[in-house]
Amino acid sequence: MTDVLVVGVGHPDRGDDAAGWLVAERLREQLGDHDEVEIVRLSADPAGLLTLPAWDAAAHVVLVDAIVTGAPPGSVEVLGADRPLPSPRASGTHDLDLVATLQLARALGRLPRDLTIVGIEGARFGVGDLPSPAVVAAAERVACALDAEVRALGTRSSQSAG
Amino acid sequence: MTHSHERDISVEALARVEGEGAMRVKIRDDHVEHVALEIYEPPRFFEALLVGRAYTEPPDLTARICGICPVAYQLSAINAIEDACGVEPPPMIRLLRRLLYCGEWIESHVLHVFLLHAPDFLGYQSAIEMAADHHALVEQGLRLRKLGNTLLEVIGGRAIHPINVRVGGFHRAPRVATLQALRPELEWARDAAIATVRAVAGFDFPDLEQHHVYVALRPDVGWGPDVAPGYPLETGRVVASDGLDIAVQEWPRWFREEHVPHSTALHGRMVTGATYAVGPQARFALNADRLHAPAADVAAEVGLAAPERNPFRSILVRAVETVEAIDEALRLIDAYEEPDAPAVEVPPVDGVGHGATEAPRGILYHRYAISADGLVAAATIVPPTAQNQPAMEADLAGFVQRHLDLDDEALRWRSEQAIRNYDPCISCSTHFLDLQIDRG
Repeated sequence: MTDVLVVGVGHPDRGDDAAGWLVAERLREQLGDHDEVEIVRLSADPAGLLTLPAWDAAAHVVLVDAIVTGAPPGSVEVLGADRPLPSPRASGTHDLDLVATLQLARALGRLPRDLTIVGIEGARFGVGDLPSPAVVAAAERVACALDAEVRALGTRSSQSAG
Repeated sequence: MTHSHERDISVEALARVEGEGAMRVKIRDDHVEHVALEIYEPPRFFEALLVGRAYTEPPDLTARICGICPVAYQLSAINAIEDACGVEPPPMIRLLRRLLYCGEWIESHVLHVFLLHAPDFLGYQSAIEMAADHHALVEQGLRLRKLGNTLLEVIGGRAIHPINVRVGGFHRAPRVATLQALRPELEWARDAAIATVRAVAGFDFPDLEQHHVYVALRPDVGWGPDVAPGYPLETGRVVASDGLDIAVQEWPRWFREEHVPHSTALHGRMVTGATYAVGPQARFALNADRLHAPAADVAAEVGLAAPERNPFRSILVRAVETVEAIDEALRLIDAYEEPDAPAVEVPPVDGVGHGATEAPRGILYHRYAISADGLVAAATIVPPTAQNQPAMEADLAGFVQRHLDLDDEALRWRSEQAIRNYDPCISCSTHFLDLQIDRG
């Protein structure tokens, strides 16, 4: 039974867009095999989230993605589902972006009860770029924070389910 | 619009980060003077990345090009590497590859038909608005899509970026019982997909007739010795509506990619200079006789006949192909027997190999030169969207010319829809797309 779903969104070969993947990979190393936590790396196709069994099953969902707000690279912003979602950029030709996917989930009544979105500010997104050092460092910090939080959430969920 | 109208229209059609791609339409004196699709192509980067890597690595590395069609990249790469090494895997491995590909088609086609393209036809800006009025339709799409995910998980080991696929076969073969357990959901899905074809057939399709040369794969053998060749998925000869019929190894003699002044991306051309189109309409035009009864019958029922030349009706072809993919998955599951070994050895040889498969949006061609010590010496990847760029430009020019009376907003929306007809690949060819219509 999955209590916590952590999704790293991004692309490993597009500079700071790797932020979500870096967090997911680091967290997987730290947690090892953990029955109650599912960690997913997602590149294109955020709509795939809605077909993951854990999307509906998990008590807590954490999404980690690179963001661009103009803040210094490596800045971390945490958004709860209680905050209004930013509007999607426009309709895509090929997939729904993350925000559109979340809005679709809301329209279908399938937003997770407890959703946290962690944004890591990126600066460069070219194909083949390496992630900025500041983003790599931020991904480490986020993974460590999530490690502690995810363990606590998983434990609380197990207790409440029991 | 009888007078010269000079307007600039800029549409941000797709943007996570802006400015890496654009569609520009230039209109002068009620005449579409120029249409240019400018897109950015990560495959060029991956081609360079692959040189010097082990010959076993391209399937996993190139799968990262596209999150929607990783199986296409994996299997085109594997076909090319096995071709270079002169190895042909046994029937059950070929069956599993075909079944895995069915999963990818179901997932990709359903996403496109239900969540990306249907809103265009039903008059919604996006699936989000559509979901409010068509809750059951969207949930049905998501359930169908989940089935595609499940197939990818069961055979590929993971729904996103399958990890169980390797040169020579698989790391682990699924159990017969595991696949049989999917039958009930697949049977539901076949009925749901047939109902989807009927629903989509009722959409209002804009008029447009295009005479592209269609190019698709067409298998000349089935996955096993006594199996008739089917609809093209994981292998086949390359055929075209102008009569071309070649082995994949002859691809470089008949097709080329050329630089065009307005774009850093390469455009696909036949060596004759003709533009061509790949994808559902091309496959259907050249392989309609290969559809099995459920798909063929519902196509006939809704009046879909090959060749279908209106690009806006590609959504209907995708819906029919979804029926075929589900129906084929059922057949493959019933024929499956666990192989003695999940993979065969593929020792490296000094050579060149070619591979092509039918990605959901059209032919994906790979070519590798491998050295005797097993390193990749050269790699070429030709993604479907690069091949479709000239056809997309032609469609847009034709469509805009016929609908100059529309105001900018309507024209912009319909133009986006015309681009969506090709389900262009966000990651492999059009990561970011910005549409501009310039009326002077």
